[in-house]
Amino acid sequence: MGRRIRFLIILCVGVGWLLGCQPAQQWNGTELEPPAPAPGLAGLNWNGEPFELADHAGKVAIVFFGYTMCPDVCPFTLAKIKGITQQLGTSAEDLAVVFVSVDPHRDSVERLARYVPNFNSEFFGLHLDTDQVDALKSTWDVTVQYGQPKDGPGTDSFYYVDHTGTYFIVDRQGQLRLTFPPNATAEQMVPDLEALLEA
Amino acid sequence: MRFARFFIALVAAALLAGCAGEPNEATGAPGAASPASPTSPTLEVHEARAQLMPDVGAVYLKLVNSGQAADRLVAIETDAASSAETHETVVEDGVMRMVPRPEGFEIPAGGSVELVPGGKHIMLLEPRPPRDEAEASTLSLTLRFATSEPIVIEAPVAAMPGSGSEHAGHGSAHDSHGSDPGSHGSDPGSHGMEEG
Repeated sequence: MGRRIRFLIILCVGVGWLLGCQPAQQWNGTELEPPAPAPGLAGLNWNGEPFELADHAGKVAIVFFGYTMCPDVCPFTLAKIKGITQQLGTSAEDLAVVFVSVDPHRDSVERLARYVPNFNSEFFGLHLDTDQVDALKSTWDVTVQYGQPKDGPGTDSFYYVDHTGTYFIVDRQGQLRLTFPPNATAEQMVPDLEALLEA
Repeated sequence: MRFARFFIALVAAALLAGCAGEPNEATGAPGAASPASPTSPTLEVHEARAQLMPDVGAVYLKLVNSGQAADRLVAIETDAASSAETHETVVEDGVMRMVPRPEGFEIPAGGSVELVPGGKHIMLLEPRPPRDEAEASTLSLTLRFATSEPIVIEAPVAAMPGSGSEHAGHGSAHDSHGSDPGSHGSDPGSHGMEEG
């Protein structure tokens, strides 16, 4: 009996030591410590169906913000995420890619439907109304600033939208775990996503 | 191989410029942008490509100045869009801002300036629908400089990134201004963000 207890103690100590010695996961992204539940996110997907991030618990999610009239970076961002999903292979089935438009005035659901599926029809492209976009500033700590219309205030001409370009990574438990800067490469993001998808 | 191609292009351009007796604006051939002078800029355009999205677009390229004086890209003219302007995307605290650069972009003597996704670029507003196949595959632009003569380029038009046909239009037009056609053949998405 005593021998059995001794064996169990040694086993527990050994397992504990092993666990303690396991190297902590090294992330390329910036880890949120401690992780916190991802803020709520709800809108209309490009196909007209309601979307709620909470409905995708169990998947890893990439959430990022942009607009379709963005001439320079946004299309390349979506192309990069498409490349990432290709690198992840079948694991990408458990990845929810969520592009959130911060330009509700121009990015109608119809416009998003002409844009987002060009990259991948599995990507979500969310239309939010103005109040919902305003709320992102406090919930997701996202900056959104609308530039002056090109032909002057009050005109219906082209304007820029300066916006946060951070990628937010939500784990399978719905916890906001990592962020990546706008210029993060696929090579930096894929290993972290793989680790979260394997967890 | 690249050097040999570049050298041939340079010799051909020099011959053309010499025979024609005037800058070769029609082709934008390298070295033809300005009269030969030891103190003037000598510009070449490399890796020009246009990225068209619904209602907006961008043109990326590399301007190389092998001359001994700096120059500046000050304006862009094109019939292919309602306007073409020099802009730069800058990232501040994770926020991507679009900054108009009406002063244009300097091309230092003996140096270069690169217009790349996520950085300096030429922004196109309201690209016009192409009238024929040629216009669908290339976009004609006149680059105007502070010192050098204008250079006309035919930028290959890439499809929307990620659409699977990013390289549409990359072809002979690309070679006409002396760049290496293989030099930007990678996915523009990853190419751009790495430099962004």
